[in-house]
Amino acid sequence: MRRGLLTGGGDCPGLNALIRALVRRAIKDDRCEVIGILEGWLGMIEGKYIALDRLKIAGILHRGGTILKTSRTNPLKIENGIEKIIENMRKARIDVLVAVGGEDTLGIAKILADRGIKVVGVPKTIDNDLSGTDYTFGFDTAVNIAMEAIDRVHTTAESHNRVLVVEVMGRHSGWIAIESGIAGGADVILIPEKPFDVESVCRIIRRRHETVNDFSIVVVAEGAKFMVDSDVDGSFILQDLEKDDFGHVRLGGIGNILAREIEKRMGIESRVVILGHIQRGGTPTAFDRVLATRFGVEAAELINRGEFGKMVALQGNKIVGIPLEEALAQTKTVSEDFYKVAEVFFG
Amino acid sequence: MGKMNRIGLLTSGGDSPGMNPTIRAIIHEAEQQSVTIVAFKRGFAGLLDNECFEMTSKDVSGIIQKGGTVLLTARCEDFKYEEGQREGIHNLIRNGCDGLIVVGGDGSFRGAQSISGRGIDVIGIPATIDNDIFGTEMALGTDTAMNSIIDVVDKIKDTASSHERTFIIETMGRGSGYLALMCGIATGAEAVLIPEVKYDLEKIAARLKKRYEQGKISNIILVAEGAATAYHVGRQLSKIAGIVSKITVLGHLQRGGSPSAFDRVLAARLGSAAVLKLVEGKSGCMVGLIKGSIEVTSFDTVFSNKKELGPTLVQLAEVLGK
Repeated sequence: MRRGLLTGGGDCPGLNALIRALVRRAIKDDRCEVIGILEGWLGMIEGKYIALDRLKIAGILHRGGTILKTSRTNPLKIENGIEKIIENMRKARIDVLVAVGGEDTLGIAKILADRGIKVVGVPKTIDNDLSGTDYTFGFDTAVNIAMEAIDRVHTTAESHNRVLVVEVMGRHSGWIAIESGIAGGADVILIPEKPFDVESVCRIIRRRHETVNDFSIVVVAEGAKFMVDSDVDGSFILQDLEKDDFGHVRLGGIGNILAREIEKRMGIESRVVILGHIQRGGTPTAFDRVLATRFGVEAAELINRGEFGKMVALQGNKIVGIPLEEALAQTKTVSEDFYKVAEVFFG
Repeated sequence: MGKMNRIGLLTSGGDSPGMNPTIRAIIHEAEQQSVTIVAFKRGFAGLLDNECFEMTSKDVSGIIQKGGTVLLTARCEDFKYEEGQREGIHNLIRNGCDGLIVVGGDGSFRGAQSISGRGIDVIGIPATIDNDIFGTEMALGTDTAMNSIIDVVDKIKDTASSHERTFIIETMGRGSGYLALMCGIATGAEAVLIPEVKYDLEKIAARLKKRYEQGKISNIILVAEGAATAYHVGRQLSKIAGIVSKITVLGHLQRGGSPSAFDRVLAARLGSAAVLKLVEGKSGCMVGLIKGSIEVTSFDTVFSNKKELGPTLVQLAEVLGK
C-alpha cells in the first residue's frame, strides 16, 4: 500500500525522527513507497510531493523541524478543499494517508476518515494538550528549553534583586508552564487552568522577600488569565485580534502586563522574558526521539492491520491505537493533583 | 499511632541526577505538613555514625539544577547485618524520627526494608540511571543520563561519518540494557548489544561488511556494560572480519550533569508523594511513576519482579538498526 505522509500545524522537535521511522519501516518490512506531501494540507490540495527514500531521511534523526515543511492551511476554508484532497490522493495513487499534527490537522483527518478515506493519525504538539495520549513528542524538548532559560534568568534575578517573569507557550493548557516551572524552581506558576489575581501573586512574592530571598521567578503560560472579578481587566491577553485559518487567536503578552503590575504594586524592579519560538526549535531530546520513533513504527503497524481512522498514542509504557474522535474529544489540562505539587514550592 | 513529626532522610548507592531536586521537594512538602526532616549524610554509613542535621528550605535553595547529591552518598557494608540495622534504628529513634525516606536503587531499598516496621516507617524513592527498578516506569536520573549519552553519540557520529569509521560506545546500565537500547533508538545506532538479547558478533560483522560494500563505512555500535565490554566487541570484530574500530567508554559522565526537565518534575512529584505517604501511615514501599500517576509498590513486589524491556522495544531497535 502506497503511503502518503504529511505534517501540519506548528513545527515540533521529533517530526523528522518520526518521518525517518515511518519510512525505514515501510522500506524494510513492508516493501512499499512513501510519498512525502509538502507543507501540510496545502501540499495535498496543490499536489506538491516528494518521494521519501533512504537518502532523503539519512541524517535527519537529530534535526528539529520537519523536512516536509508545514502550514496552517485549513482545507475547509478552501472551496472544495476536501474533494480536492480525495481527488489528489487518487491521482497520486496514495492508498493510505498518515497525518501528523495537532487537533486541527487530526480534525481534518477525522473528516476524511468519515468519508471512507484510509487515514492514520499521529499526534504532534509541543503543548501536550491532546487527550488520549500521556505525552506528545516535542513537549519534552520544549520543557527542557524553557527550564534552561529559567535556570539562566535565576542568576540575573538573584544578582539584581529583581522579579523575573518568564512567559512560556502552551496555548490553552498549562503543561509547559507547570513542568518547566517545577523543573526550574519557579516561585509562582500561573496557568490557564487556574485564573489568578495579581494581588495574591504579590502576596506570595512579598512573603518570600520578607523571609527567604530578595528575588523571585514567576512562570506564566501564554494562555493564563486573570480572575473575572480581579481589578486588572480582561480574560485572555491577545497579541492581536487576527485569527489563523483554524480560527485560533494568537495568545501572548500576559507577561508584560504582569511584570508591570508587580512593579507598580510592590516597587520591585521587574523584567519579562518571552520565550516564544525558541521553544519549538533545536535538536530533540532522547525522550522525544524515542517516542517519535515508536509512533512512526506503530503507525505502520496500524496500516498493516487495517486499523484506519485511528491515532497512535502513548499510554503508560505502551504505544496503542485509539479512535481519532477520542483524541479530539477534549483538551488535556493540568490536573488538580499536578498543580498541588507545584504549589508546594510557591513563595 | 500519633502524627509523624520527624522524618529521617538519606541518599544511598550510586549518585544519580535528580537526587537534589527530590531532596528539595521533600523539604518543601515536609514544611508544608509541619514535619521536620533530619538529614543523614553519606547514606546508611552516616546513619550508623549519627552524622545528621535538621534540614530546612534554606539548605535546599539553589540545588534544583545540580547533579549529584548534597547529602553525599556511600555504599555501606555494615548495614547488611543485624547489628548495623539495630544501630541505625537506634539512631533514628534517638533523633526523634519515626519515619525514614531512602533515595536510591535496589541495594538501598534492601537496607530500607530491613528496618521497615521495626518502629520506623520507611518509604523509598527510586533513583538510578540504570532504570532497572520494578514499580516505576522511570527512575530518577535515567532521562538525564540518556540525554548525556545522546549528546556524546551525536558528536561521535560527526567524526564517524567524516572519517568513515566504526565506533563502539560502551554505556552503563549494570544488568539492564535500557540505556543502551533507548539511546540506540534515539541516535540511530547501527547495532545495540544488550544483556537481555543474545547477540551474534559473526552476524553483526557480516552486516557491517555488507554495509561496507554498499559504501556505508561509518557505524555506531552501542554496547551495554552488562552485555560485554566495548574492547571485547572491538577485538572480536577485528578478529572475525578485520573491522577496525574506535572505542569509547562513557563511564561516569553518564551520572553527572544538571538534571533534565523530566527528572526534575519527577523528583518533585516523588519527593512530595514520599512525605505525604509517610504521613498517611504507609511503610515498606516505594513511590513510582505508573501510567502518568505516582503510585506506591511494596518492597516485596519490587524485589520479586524483574523490570522487563518488553519485546516491542527490542524489535524496534532491530528495525532501525538494519
